Amino acid sequence: MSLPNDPKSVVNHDLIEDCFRESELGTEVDVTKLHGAILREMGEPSDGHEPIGLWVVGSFALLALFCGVYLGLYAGGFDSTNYFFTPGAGKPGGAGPVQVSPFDRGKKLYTANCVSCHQATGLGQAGQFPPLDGSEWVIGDAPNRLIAILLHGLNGNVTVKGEVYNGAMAAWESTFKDEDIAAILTYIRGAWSNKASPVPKEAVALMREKTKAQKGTPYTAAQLLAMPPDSEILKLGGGDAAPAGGDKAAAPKPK
Amino acid sequence: MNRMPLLLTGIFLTFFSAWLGLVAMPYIHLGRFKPQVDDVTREETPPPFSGEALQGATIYAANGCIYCHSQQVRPLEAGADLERGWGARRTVARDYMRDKVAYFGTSRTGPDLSNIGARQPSAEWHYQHLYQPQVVSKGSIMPAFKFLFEKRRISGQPSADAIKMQPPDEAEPGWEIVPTREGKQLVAYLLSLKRSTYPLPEAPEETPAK
Amino acid sequence: MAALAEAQPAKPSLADSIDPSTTESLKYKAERAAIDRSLRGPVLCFIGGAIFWLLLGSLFALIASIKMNVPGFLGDSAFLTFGRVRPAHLNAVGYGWGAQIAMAVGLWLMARLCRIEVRHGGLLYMAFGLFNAGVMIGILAILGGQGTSVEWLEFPTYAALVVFAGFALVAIWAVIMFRFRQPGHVYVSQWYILAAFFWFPWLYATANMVIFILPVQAAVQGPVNWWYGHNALGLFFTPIALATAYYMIPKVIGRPVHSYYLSILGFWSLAFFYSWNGMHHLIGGPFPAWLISASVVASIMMVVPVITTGINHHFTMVGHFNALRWSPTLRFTVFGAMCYTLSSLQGSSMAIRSVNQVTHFTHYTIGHAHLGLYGFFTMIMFGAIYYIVPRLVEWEWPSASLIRWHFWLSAIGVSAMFIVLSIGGLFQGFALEDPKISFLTSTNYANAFLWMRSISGIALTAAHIIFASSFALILLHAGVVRRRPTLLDRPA
Repeated sequence: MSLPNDPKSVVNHDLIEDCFRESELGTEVDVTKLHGAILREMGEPSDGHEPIGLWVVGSFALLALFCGVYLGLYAGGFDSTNYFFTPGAGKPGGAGPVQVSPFDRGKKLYTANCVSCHQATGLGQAGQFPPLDGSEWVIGDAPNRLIAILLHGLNGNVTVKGEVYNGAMAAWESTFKDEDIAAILTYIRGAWSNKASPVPKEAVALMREKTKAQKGTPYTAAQLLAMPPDSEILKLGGGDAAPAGGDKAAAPKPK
Repeated sequence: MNRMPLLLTGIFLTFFSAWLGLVAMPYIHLGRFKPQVDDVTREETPPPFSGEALQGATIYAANGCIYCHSQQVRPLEAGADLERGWGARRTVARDYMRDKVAYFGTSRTGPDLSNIGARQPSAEWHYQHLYQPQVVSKGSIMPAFKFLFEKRRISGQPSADAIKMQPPDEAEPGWEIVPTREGKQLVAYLLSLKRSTYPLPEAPEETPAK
Repeated sequence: MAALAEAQPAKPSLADSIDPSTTESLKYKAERAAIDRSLRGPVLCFIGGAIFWLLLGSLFALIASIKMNVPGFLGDSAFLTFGRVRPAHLNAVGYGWGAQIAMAVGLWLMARLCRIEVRHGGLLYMAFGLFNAGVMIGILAILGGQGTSVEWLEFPTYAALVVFAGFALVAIWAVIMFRFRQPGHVYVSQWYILAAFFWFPWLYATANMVIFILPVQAAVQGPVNWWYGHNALGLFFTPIALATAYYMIPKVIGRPVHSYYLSILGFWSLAFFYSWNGMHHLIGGPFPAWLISASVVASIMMVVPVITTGINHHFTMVGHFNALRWSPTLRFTVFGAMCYTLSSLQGSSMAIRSVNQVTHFTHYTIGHAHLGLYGFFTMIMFGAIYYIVPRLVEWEWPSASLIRWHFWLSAIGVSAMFIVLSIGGLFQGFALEDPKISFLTSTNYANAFLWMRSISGIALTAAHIIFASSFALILLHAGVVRRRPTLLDRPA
């Protein structure tokens, strides 16, 4: 087989061309008009029929096997909510709720429900709403009283940080679950300059049970002060006041 | 393979399978996200963009920021993004539900911008950086975007928007450099990029080993 | 025997009796000449338009590349800011040059292989006008700040619609030609061209529809964007270039393609696996694991069509490598076919997650893109132009040394660009993956290599200017009348 561009074959093509030019055989083709490139070009490509090597097929099959295994391992179980390749990487929680710490949850609840009186700073408003920051009622070692206030409210005069306030703290008993009240208290006991321990939701549940009788009637300060620090609540973890180094805050004493 | 129907059917089916898998399936699974609503504050995450920030996204597109900056944080298993502090967690599809067009990006000639609004919260920083990147980021090869600013003669009170540059970029006495509307929109967009600053259940936070 | 069907004319012609080495009749030669003439105007227009965009695209590329070295270069102009010049480059060479030359070569091959003359060629001029107007509007829109910044889909919708209309006309023409082809064997090139002209409008329409016209939530746009972006290469540029290689190699050396069975395996595995590619551009991105892994696997499986096609081409060439010395078409085509194997295998390796972790987001990917679109696709298109144009204008290329310069500048330019971007990209990638190294250091590592990239870009631009001159000269019928083809070297 000769190459199209091979000078040897060019001779042949020239010969064809010359033959046609001189002989008028009645073909409809007027070859003299054909460009040389067309005349000398090879026929349109055709197919050979060599078989496919066995090694080729074999290696492709192996590759496909590897890919199948890969998909089984790293396709996240074909679950569209799983974004991680490595099984168990990042430990996706699936559709479950986000785990937020009680403190963060408390902060949100506080922001949504408490800041209008006690302010985001926890400093309250002079003469109107008592502060929470540094308040002996908040960080003191009688969290049972704090829980009680939140559950059922507080009416009348109350002394906080040496100032007397006269107001009405709302009852939240029917609004919040134990968990939420615990979160709020954990927040206000740990926010700003406060460094008291968190309040577990079991403590709130226990207090709710113990103060059932008070439902619907806000406490007075005197009533609360008569309430001794509850050892059961303290045992649940609500009572360890300030961590080492901080002043152990005392709960307000009855006058 | 000399028959047209056979050939065409094959050409159609192979492609259709991929179309189903890579267009239709993502549409079903990733095309209808709803924001996560906080049960206390009723806050929605991801938060919606402000109108100005959405305008800024088109400025981001018009000037091709995407050709150097990505907006995706890879998980620990796929890169060092978290270790570089580009986010507290990887980004997932839902983080982009508020975008009209998401600029995921394929190049990091510049750093990732998924959380640039949290990493560089100062508008002044962004203005200075856009006006002359080398001022706040020495050695950067980012081009200056001076056409997003206007240098104008101070008439009456100096503008509150005027940016403070040091020599040699400082404006001559009696002149001031103020961002144009486009410049302000772009910075509003950049400041609103806080893609993985809030939690989502499908994207747990990962802590780098070091 | 199907392979011989074409070689059996209705009646033996004089040519057969005169020259025993001539295996086909003069009638076919005349038929081919008639087909070439029917396509002369439209195809030359498309080639001319493509070369125009190639030159303009090279200019944009140079500007963008120098901006990486000297950030202040042309810095005060909004039109020429890096983020606009770079997509202008991509779209000028991707659509203006790439898609347009693919249409030109695809049309010509289809007509040749279906053995029919093109009728109503006037509509193809309309397609030419629409397509180029669309690209022009699109590029101006990008420079004017209307680009979408969705990679490979930067044209705003109004430009995309015009481009699509122009393209659709050509695609319809190709399908109609196939429908009314002369009876006989359908050659492998025809499968590829038919498929490409069928797939691309679907891809382009889906992507524009989902992202811009009836936009879906942004998270879906990522997969659709990269399904389009990768398959514009895989299911349009690649099949057209493979069809060309499958045509040119056996055509120039005058022997059948090694194996029909390998052709079949190569075609269907490409159709199936390539279409599932794309998501591996998003590894680690905000998408479900299965979506990414599906593309990773499909990308690895691309080894099948690549190796198959590689074997088929190689064994067709065996024994004829000498012809590379003198045939311009063959030299460009074989260079391109080799780059196909190389860039595809590299592409498969880049889909492996541990490799991708380093190379993703770096200049390594840019190097890979140039090896594929330039080393493979563009070089094969150059080869095809060197074959087709003399037949259309009925004149031989005026200067062999211009072709020689074109080849070496292109081949060395793209190889150098690939090498420096790969090495620079690896430096950059390893630095990015080490959080102890500052981010700025990672870009600094790449900077020295980016200077070398600019130099290789100058070589490529020079090659294109030489090529364009050569094309202008042949259109003008410059030089002496040649009775022989313009060869690169005297055959041994």
